[in-house]
Amino acid sequence: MDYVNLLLSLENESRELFKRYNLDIENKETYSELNIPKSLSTVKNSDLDKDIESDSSIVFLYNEEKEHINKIFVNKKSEINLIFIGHGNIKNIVTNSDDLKLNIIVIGSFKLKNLIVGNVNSNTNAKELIICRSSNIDITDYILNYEEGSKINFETLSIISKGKVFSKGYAKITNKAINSFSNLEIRGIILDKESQFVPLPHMNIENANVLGAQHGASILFLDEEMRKYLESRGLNKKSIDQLYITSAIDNSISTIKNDELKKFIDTLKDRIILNVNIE
Amino acid sequence: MLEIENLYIKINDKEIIKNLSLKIEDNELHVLMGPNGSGKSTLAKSIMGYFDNINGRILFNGLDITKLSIEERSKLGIFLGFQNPIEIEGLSTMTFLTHIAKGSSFKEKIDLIYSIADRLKIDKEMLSRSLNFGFSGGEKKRFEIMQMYLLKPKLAILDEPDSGLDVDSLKEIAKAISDYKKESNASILLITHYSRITNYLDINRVSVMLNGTIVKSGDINLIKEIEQKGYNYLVDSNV
Repeated sequence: MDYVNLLLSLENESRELFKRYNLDIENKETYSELNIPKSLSTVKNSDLDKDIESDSSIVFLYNEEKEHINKIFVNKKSEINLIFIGHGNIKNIVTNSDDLKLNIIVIGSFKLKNLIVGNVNSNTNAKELIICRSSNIDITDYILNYEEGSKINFETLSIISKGKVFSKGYAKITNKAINSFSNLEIRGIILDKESQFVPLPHMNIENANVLGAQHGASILFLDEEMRKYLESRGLNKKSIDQLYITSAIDNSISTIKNDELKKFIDTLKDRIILNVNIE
Repeated sequence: MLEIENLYIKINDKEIIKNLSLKIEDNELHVLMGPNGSGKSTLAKSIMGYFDNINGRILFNGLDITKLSIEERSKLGIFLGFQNPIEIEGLSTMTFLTHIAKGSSFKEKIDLIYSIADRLKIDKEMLSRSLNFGFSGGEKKRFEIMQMYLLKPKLAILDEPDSGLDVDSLKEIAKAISDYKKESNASILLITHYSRITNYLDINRVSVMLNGTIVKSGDINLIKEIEQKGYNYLVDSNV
């Protein structure tokens, strides 16, 4: 199976739907001097082509415009954590033939396309967290229930401060995917009026003989009343924004088993939240 | 503790608070009663700093806080337990509580949060939800009281902590308020429509608010007067 061509065909199918929603990425800070624990695999400005047979955590560092394609094949019950830091033009293909818990964290400025493929009787539970601080992130998530009995639950959450995120989602259920289950949920939290979040979920169902097929989007803006409530607990504007981001990151990493990765994300959290000027 | 002098507040060109003066002493449990629309919640919010455009003065422990922000007033030790706490989806309750809880280590804060949750019979499952999101009315009230325990204010303004509660929950909330006052020597301004909760509290002073101003103050006997005569007699006597 040529998964790159599969991604291309989905891009073609969805081109009309998304053609007006493209963001340019910017050459932003790359976080190049991070202390990445040796236990975590690191990919720098290159492609990955890997079979995964057990739990795995990979940190991807990019700081160039050239397109990179990463292919990850999951053959056994696994937890995969993919962290993308920096800026770049990336395509990721994850195919699952078993039971997969997938966590994707994106920090920086990216044009990112993810294709998640569910093979026969596979079960994928995926959470994606986008932290957008004074940058642009253009993300398209393709979830493809390819064969009978495959289940994909995909939830993506963007937290945006003085930035823009276009979060596009295209869920497809093929003719072969009877008794499959698809859920695509796109959510965004906007922290200020300068930020922009555009969610575009779409579903293409070729076979309606499925267990479930749903998709949706929501946007949350911290309005004045919410802020005042938090201020009445002693929080100022900056700490409210920090708290929101902390909460989203904590929620995303709560199910991650890899302790080294959790600690690394904690250091990233401190660096991102403390370093970037929100005001 | 708190002194409000000749307060006037207009919202959308309508005068909501009119020449209101009120004093709350140290370690006092002061009940504020009044019918719907009398301006009680507006007064509560004005003490907390919700409104910019006000006339008059608010003094807290001798300090003029009239121009201070909400956050500054909170840090001075003023707390507002809301009548209808707003839901904030996306903000984890536990993350929020560990941020506001006082404690020198993360473990200490977690232990404190769990002990208060046990004390107030708050289901720990609630702590994993978004802030106030999907909480029942009673759960929201308990959760406001929990935040009071964590923030340890010197003045706690509790806006209708009794509304929508069954009799058992009402007793529990009243006990929690009473215990907090004893443990912290804080002052409490308790806002309510009804006298039910006052049966379970040791009240020092009662004020009645009508049409944006305080029309009468007294001791606990004033509550019995209101119970017997309603608010209308005060309206008639103030016409």
